[in-house]
Amino acid sequence: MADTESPRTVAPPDEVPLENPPSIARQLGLGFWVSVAFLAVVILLAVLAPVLPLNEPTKIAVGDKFEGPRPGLWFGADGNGRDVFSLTIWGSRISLLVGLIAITIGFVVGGSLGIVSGYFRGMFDKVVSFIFVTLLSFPALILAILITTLLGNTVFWISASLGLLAVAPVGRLARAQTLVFAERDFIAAARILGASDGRIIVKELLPNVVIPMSALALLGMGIAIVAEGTLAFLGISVDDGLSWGKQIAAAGTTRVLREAPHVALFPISVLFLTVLCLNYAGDRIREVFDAKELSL
Amino acid sequence: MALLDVTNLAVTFKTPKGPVYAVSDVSFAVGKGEALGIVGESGSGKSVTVKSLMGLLPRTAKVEGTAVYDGEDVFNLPKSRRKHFYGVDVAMVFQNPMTSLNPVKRIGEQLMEGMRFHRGLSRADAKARAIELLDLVRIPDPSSRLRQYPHELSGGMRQRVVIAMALANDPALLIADEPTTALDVTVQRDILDLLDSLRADLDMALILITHDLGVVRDRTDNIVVMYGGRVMESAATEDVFADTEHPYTEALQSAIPDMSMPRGTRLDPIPGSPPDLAIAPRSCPFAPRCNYASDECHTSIPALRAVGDTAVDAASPHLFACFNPRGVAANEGASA
Repeated sequence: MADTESPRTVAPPDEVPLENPPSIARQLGLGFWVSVAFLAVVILLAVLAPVLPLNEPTKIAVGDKFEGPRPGLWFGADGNGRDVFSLTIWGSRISLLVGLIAITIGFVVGGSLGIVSGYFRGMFDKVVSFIFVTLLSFPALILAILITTLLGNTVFWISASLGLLAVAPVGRLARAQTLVFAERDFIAAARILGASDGRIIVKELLPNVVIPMSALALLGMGIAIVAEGTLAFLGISVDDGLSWGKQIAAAGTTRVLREAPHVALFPISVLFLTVLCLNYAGDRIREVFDAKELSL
Repeated sequence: MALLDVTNLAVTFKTPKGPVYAVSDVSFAVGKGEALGIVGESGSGKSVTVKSLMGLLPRTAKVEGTAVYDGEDVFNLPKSRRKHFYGVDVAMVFQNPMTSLNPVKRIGEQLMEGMRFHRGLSRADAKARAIELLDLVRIPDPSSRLRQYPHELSGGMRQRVVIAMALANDPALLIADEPTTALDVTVQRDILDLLDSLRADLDMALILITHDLGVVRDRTDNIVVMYGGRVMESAATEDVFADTEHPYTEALQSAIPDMSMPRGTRLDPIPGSPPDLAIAPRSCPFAPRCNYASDECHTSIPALRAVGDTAVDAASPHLFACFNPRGVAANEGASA
């Protein structure tokens, strides 16, 4: 201890000071907010695409064949002279939608199954856990191909097949978190106070389980967006309409990549940055709230 | 008449490896406004005993015996009564204040829930009552505490909040399951003294569960000493200390640190560990660790008996379950 001059008396510690910890917004950090800002721009552009002064994405010969980026044609033109910037924005609509629907399905189905099985345990839990393990051991790509081939490669079924793949990991996390909290005394205290199982799950467990799950939601959305790209590469993305996956797949031929790499590079960069931001934001949320949990 | 009368309570857990006899043949009573200490080391069945009373045991538990609270059979309450029994007539304080509050809900919200549910108080009334309760458990600046989350409070403060929650509906009986085990030593005394003074002020009965005989010494009217799921000794607090009969109680006493001991004195730990409750007991559960065990201790279970003949009818007879008692009863046995 440095022998500095210190006051000989300190304030009596009998009252715990009402300290103000740094706000949550502060703790999440600059990187988080930059990510969120980027995602906000991407989402805003996607939502506003119909009213933005963009070239018709399917219109050919807007620019020259494989024309490089220039003012007014920011991302250049593809092999048919279509506006790559416009294609990227219109493509984001379906890519983001697929990511959103997929993760929503994964969360609603997986989350509720996980929480309910973790809370009630018993036979139901055994059955649900078995289903999760089965889903996890099923080859993901085959399952997605199977569903889209049998039920049609519409936005919904593609999202549903990706959502189904999210059910098991999300469900297992939800179950594990539920097991942690269900053992805690505040659940027993709620039960003593007369709370029903439904009320305990919704009011006591869910708020605790949702935080780590929200981090996974962002990660999962990124994974679903990339997965859509993979499906597009196999030629089974949405049957009509544009998506990042289809755009990249179309530009992914050796000739195009060699002659005009910008056609693929721009949508790939946007996709990459979007997924990176989703992952980073999810990670930050998990770190900040995990630290909170530790301080308990 | 006692407020809570527990008779021949037995709790058995069904496990894949066979039954576990967690609690066997436990009886005790708590009068209105009285304090009862249940003492025993880990695995002695003290927590299971109160959890069975609170209806908190898993479905794998089989509960036998009776528990009568103010004329009502606790184990067979009608559903409508049960809803407003726990948390109103009988409340509980848990061992670890770190886990007995919901980390994502504000203190105020958690405090007010119970009163609003059981008493139908308006938000404003519940808030006023919550502030009153925090004040009662001596938390400074109660109104601003209501907006705080559990992680913003220290362990001692959190336990005060948990106690305040338990007191919300003026329970006639408060069960505190090792309320200070998870707290710093300096805070332990504050919490115990708080419980003691609340009991006196609110004329509330208290069951204080602890592994520390020293904790219950000045704060309870009666003590039940448990071991291996059984009652070893049960008596008025002063009798337990003045005339210790059971070797286990004696061993617990010599494990209490005393500030007046000369420096360098060694505490007397109890050798060995508690018995495996998965084996149906056929002998005194304490016999393997007992310094005074005789042959019959290893072959048969000593029944509870009273010190002296007249004491059986007394308000709180001095009971013990031992073939080789250490106190007054030893001489009785010798002369008889």
